[in-house]
Amino acid sequence: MTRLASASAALAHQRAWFRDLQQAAADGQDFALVNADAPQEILRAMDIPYVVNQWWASIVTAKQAAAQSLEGVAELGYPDDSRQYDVLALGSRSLEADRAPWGGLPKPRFVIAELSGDATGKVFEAWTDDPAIEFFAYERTVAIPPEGPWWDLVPHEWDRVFGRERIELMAEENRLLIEWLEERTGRRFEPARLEQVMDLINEQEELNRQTRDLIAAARPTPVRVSDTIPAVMIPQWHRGSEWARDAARELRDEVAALIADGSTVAQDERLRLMWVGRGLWGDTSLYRRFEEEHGAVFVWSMYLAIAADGYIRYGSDPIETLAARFVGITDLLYAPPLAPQWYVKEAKGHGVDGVVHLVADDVPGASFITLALQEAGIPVLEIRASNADPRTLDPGAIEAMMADFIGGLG
Amino acid sequence: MTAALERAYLELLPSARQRAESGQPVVGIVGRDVPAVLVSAAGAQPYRLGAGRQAAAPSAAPSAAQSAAEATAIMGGAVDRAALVLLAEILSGSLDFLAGILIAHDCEASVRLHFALQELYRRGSSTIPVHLVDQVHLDRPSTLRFNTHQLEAMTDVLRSWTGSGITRDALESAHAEHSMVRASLSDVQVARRTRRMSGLSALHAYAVGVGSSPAAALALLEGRERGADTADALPVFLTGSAPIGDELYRAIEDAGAVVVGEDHDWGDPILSDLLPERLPAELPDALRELALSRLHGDPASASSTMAARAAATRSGVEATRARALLSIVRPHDEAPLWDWKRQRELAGVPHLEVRGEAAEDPSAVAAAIGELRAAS
Ligand code: SF4
Ligand code: SF4
Repeated sequence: MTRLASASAALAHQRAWFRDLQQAAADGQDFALVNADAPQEILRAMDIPYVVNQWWASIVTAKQAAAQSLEGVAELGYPDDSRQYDVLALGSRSLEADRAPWGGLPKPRFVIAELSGDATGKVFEAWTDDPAIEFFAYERTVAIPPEGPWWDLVPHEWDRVFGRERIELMAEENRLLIEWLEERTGRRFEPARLEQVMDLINEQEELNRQTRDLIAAARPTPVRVSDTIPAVMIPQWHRGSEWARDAARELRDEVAALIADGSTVAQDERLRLMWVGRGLWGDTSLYRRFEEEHGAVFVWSMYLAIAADGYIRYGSDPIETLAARFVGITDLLYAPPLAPQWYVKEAKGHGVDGVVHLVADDVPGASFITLALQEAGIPVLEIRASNADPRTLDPGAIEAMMADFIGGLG
Repeated sequence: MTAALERAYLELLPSARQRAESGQPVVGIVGRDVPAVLVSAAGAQPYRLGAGRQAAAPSAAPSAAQSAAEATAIMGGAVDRAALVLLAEILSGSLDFLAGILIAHDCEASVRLHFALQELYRRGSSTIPVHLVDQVHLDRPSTLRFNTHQLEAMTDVLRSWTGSGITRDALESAHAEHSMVRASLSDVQVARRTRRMSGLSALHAYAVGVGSSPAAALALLEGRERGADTADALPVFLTGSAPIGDELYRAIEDAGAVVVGEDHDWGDPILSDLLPERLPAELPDALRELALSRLHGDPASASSTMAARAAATRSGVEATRARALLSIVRPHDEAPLWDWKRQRELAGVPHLEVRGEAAEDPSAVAAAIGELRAAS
């Protein structure tokens, strides 16, 4: 499928890692289920295995087990039409062994999440219907306007992006989580170990940054977005390990080599496009048609770009530095004015001719992203999709809209 | 009395506007987590905005429809309609007299409303400055510290809006006034619990209590006559979404029930955020007390655990001697849907959930009351 060796290697690693985790869980080892927006680094530093909730949801979805998992949620007495993606892991626990993807998610001992939105906390509280599972919650605080371009400030001057108070609150919560885990596992937290983890992550994300910059500058585009996504995301789930750092290096080297070889995605690249919002990267035929017929290539994904700009943090206190990484990570992608400014900067940096913006109706501030791009002189095709009603994502209709838009650009 | 309350409810918007025109700054508040007493102490009138509560005089239809469409385009369709209605009201210009709007972080829809208004202001398409009062909700010392900081920031913002800082005397007298309003609202609560006042009137009383100047509210609330005898109606405890306007209360009570208590933030829970009897003299300590009073108040759906909500519903049913539990949940208001499992398990009385489109349909609500009457 993918042309990237680093992507295939990441996928293989993920399989092997999950098999080990299942084995460890079967042997009685405690593990945690963590939402993507909560710090995972403390678990890594304490050698407590964890699964990222959104990753598992993506596996459940890819294996066509989402509908059945939601039935499981309803059987527990909870709504099956709220926070569906967040609750798939819980629902998937009720799948029959032969229906469960990858042999099924074992039962976690801890669940950890930030209280984002109105119901995420309840989704995780629902796990605790099983008295053997405990929930640790982080507060979700709200974005403030930054004192300048956040992507320049966050690595060193995060206070000026997120504000001192928000970081202090989360740092204190990090300390609470550490105590909470120490009490329950008997393990000791070593600050030096967290420092190591944080160093590895900065190395990994700096490598991602180089990869992003290589792709932004390359003409023509050397690699498909659908190929870089697994090569970026899987190492992201393993942030703070040497394997993840090395995987990011392999991706960079591979992309550099493709550029040196003059490798291209489209035979004749005439249009460079950016996709903003949830991607439809599973359906590669959609993109191939535009490559062939219009020489139109998607050159950007938020996965690589947010790894490049959103995660690097340098600081003397690892617990505060970690807070500074997580306190506003989703704001950077969605909240105005942080998000709109960033998409404009990325669009310009990649020299795109147009943007396709898939606007899910449950994402805040999407209209301001479109507005900012248009004001910067970049044509935008907005595709409005209802999160509750997947039928609005009719691939035929999307293809027609895109054909129209791309035809108009060329 | 009840007619006077209803009139005052309908007059909330014009009288707030009048006040602003006469020179006193009026500050809009969205959500229960913003301590109104600080607004008063800063020399402004707090005016609690509630979707549909200031729409008494129907504005010219085409522009209202246009504002509604604009609000949806800005915030997206998948947000509780309460926030859309409020944004549309603001876009229509009918609240332009406000010196500013303080928005609480009490649910996702409010946060989105804040982002939208902040952007509109930054771009010059709105003239009303906004500020988010980021009160979060876990009962932890770190949360209390953060919330206290947030209130400090709020007092700075108020100073920039009203031109006057909060002095010790101003805070003391504001505290005294607000305590008196609360005492009268407690009388209202007793009156409805003893079946001497309808839920609709109580709803109006709460709106008047938090939406007018304290003096005006007191004058209205102090009447001794509490109106209708509701002894024959089915006493219902209401949970779910905070209503938009008062139509659903009308529908419920016209169908032969009476709302004897509720757990949404326009009703009884206001009284659970107990103001301390005396506020500490130093401002930072006073702010800490105010933050604490909300943290220890009754749980709101969007910011608390299902367990806490179910326990609170249970005690609400008991305290009001309700004989049925009704949950009405509007589309895109997700949190109450999750609460329902444990609420119904603990309710101890016949119960029913009305959700989706039906939640905004008075006839569906009336039908639900019919079912509950049959069951109890
Ligand atoms: S990178 Fe984006 S899509 Fe992936 S888990 Fe994080 S927030 Fe979700
Ligand atoms: S974007 Fe929203 S729904 Fe998706 S994972 Fe993040 S919080 Fe959950």
